[in-house]
Amino acid sequence: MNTKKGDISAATVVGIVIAIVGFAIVLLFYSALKEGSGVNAQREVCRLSVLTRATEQSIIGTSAIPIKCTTEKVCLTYGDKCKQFAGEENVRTVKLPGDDGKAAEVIEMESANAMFDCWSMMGEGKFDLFNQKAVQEFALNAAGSTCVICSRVAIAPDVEAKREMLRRVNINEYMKENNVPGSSLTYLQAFVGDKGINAYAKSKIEFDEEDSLKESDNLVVNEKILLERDGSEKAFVFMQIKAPEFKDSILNSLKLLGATAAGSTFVAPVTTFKTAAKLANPYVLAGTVVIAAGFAGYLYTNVLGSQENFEQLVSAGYCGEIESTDKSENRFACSTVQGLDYDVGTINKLCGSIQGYP
Amino acid sequence: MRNKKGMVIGEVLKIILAVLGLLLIAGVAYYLYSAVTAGQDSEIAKRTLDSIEGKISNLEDGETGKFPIKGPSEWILVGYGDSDTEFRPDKCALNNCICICPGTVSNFVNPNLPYALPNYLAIRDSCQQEGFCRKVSFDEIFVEIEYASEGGTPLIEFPKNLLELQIVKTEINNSKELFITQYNTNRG
Repeated sequence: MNTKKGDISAATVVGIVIAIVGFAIVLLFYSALKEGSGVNAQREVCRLSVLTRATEQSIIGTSAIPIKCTTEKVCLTYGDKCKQFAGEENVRTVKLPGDDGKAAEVIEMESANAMFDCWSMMGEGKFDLFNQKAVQEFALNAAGSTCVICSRVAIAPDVEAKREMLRRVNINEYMKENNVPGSSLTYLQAFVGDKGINAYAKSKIEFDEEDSLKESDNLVVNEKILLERDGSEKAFVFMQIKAPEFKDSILNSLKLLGATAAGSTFVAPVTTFKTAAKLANPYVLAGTVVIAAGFAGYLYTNVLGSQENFEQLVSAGYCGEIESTDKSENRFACSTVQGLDYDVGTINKLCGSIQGYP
Repeated sequence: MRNKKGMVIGEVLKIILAVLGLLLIAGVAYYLYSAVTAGQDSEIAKRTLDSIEGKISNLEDGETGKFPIKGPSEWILVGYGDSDTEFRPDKCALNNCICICPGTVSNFVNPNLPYALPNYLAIRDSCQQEGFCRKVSFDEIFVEIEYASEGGTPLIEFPKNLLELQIVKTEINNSKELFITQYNTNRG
C-alpha cells in the first residue's frame, strides 16, 4: 500500500514538474513574441542583427543576414495625434509637460537619445555592414551610400504651435552638458570616445547668406543654426559610405572643418549661418542645431564641388578603416549619424539605398 | 529491489522522453519564430501596404496627402478598380484592392514600347504568387507614375531609398475614386 502510494506520488510530482517546466517554456516563448514588438526588444533585435551580420561577413564574406532594424516612431505631443504617422503602427507617444522648460528638455533628451541609440545600435560605424562596392565606382555621392533610418521623431500640431517653447530647445547644449543614460560620459564625449572633451571645436568653415562655404577664423561656435526650411519631422539616420579614393580629401576636410575628434571618431562642430531667423517651425532648428555642419553634406560639397548637395545637418561619425572581409586598401569608410528633415529630397540626397524595416 | 530498480528506470525514461518532447516543442517554437522574423522583403512589403492603407483611410474625402514611403526595393504597387476586374488577382477576393508585388517596371513594361500597356497577366501572377493585397472601398483606383513629359505608367516601382506618394480621394458622379501617384521628372 505504501509502495503504491509512493508510486503515485512520484509520478504526480514528475508530472507536475514537467507541466510547470512546459508551461514556463510556453510562457517564455509567448513573452518573447509579445515583447518582439516593444521598443527595447526592437533595439536589441537590431543590435543583434548588426553584430551577426558583421560577424558573418567577417567569416564568409556575404550579407545573407538582413539588418533587422525597425524605424522607431516617436510622437512628441501635448495631446494631439502626430499626423505624420497617420495609419502607421507602433508609434511611441511622448506626452510633454506643460512647463515650457521641462517640455524643451524632454524634446532635447528624446532627440539626443535617438541620435545616440542609432549610433550605438549600428556598431558606431566600425563594421562593414553593407558590403558595398568601393565608392570610386559611383564617385562620392549618395549612389554609393547605404542608410538605416533608426527613428523618426515628429511633433504634433499642438507642439508646433508653441514657438516660444520650441525656441528654448538646444539639443547641442544638452548633448554637451548631459550624460548618456547609464554612463558617466556626456553625449558629446560618448560620440567622440574621449572623456577629456567638453566643448565643440571651432570650425574654419563659415556659411554666408547664400549658404555657401568660405574659410574663416572668426566663427561663433555653438550658436543656433538658422534655416528657412519648414518641417515638423526629423529622421535620425545612420549612413555608411566606402571611400578609399577620397581618404586624403576626407581627412583633410575633417581637419578643415575643425571636427572634435579622437582618433578617427569625430563630431563635426557647430558653425553658424549669418542668415537671420526666418524660421517657420523652430523644431527644424531644434533638430538641426544638434551638433554640426553636416559632415556628409560638407563631404559632398567640398569633394564633389556640388553646392546643391549641401545640407546643414547634424553629424557625428567615424572615418577610418572598418572591420571588413575586404583586406585591400578599400577598407576606408565614413559612417555618420545625423538628424535630417524626413522628406524624400533630403533623405535621398544622402542615401542611395535604405535598409531595415519602415 | 528489482521492482524498485525497474520503477526508477521507468521514471527516468519518462523524464527523458518528457525532456525530449519539451526540446522538440522548443525547437518547433524557435523555428516558427525564426520563420516569422525572416523574409525581409515580404515583411517590408506587408508593412508598407499596411501603412499606405492606413494613410488612405486617414484622409478625408476630397483631401490630398503626400507621404514619403520606404517600400521593398524592386517591388511594385498596383491597384484594381471596377475597370480592372479581368486582371485582378484572386487574393483580392472579388474586391477592389491595392497590391504590392515582386517585380520591377521593366519586368512588366516593354522598354521598346514605353507607351504600350503593361503585361497585366504577368502582374496578376506575381501578385497572386508572392504579393500582398488589401481591400479598399473605391470604385476606381488609379496607381501610376506620372512623368513630366511622357504621360504615365499604371504601376509604381519602389526604389532602394524613399519615394513620395501623393494620395487623393475623390468622388466623381457618385463614383468613389482613389489616385495614388508618384511624380517623376524622368522616365526610368
